[in-house]
Amino acid sequence: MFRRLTFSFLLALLLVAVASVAFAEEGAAAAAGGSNVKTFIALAAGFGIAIASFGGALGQGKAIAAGLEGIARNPSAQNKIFIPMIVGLALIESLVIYALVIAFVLVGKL
Amino acid sequence: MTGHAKEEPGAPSLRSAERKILLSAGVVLGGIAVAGRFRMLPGAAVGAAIAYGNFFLIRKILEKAFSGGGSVRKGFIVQYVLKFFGLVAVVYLVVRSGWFDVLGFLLGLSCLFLGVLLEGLARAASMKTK
Repeated sequence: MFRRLTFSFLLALLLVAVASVAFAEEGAAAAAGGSNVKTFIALAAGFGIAIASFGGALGQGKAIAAGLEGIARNPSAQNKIFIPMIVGLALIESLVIYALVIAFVLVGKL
Repeated sequence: MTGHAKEEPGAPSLRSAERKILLSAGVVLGGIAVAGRFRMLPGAAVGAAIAYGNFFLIRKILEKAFSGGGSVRKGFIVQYVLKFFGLVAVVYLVVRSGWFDVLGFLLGLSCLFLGVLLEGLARAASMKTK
């Protein structure tokens, strides 16, 4: 419960911080008569790849930990655990690569 | 650990998953050709090649790492990280060079998902018929 509250508080703090920076940029851009699209593109690319790598790392860590624990408990079931584990790792990694491609495309628009 | 994760009869097979990935790459490339979007073809081919190569390298590295009969080779971490950096570099070159259509490239990368989905469906069908 405490962890969840802390996480929610940190998330809210992050959102407020980002929003204030974005609004400040918007004001400055509006004052300059320019556009702040590039700021949001940079933010989107950065946050996108950060969230994807965070989730991917979490998922891969969990998959490997569970797989190795299963193999350690029952070494004779190695093949039945190992092969789906590799497939899962490949799928998770390709999702992160998708996010990387999107981030590169966004950065190319800067 | 019994050797190179040898495939038992009836056990899930990684080689057959690789074949399904190639099959789905063929289907995706054929679909793009039938749709007449020839500009997307090279990007899709490169994406499919990268997806297949990534899967192949993951299999090779992990099979080698866990083939020691209970012990795990420590060098596999370096190999895995190097593979990932190589993958990132290739993706960067493909996207930033501008030679390939990015949508086609993403479609090509999706062959991995399609291949694994096909493999799962085939396995489910074979279990049902037994």
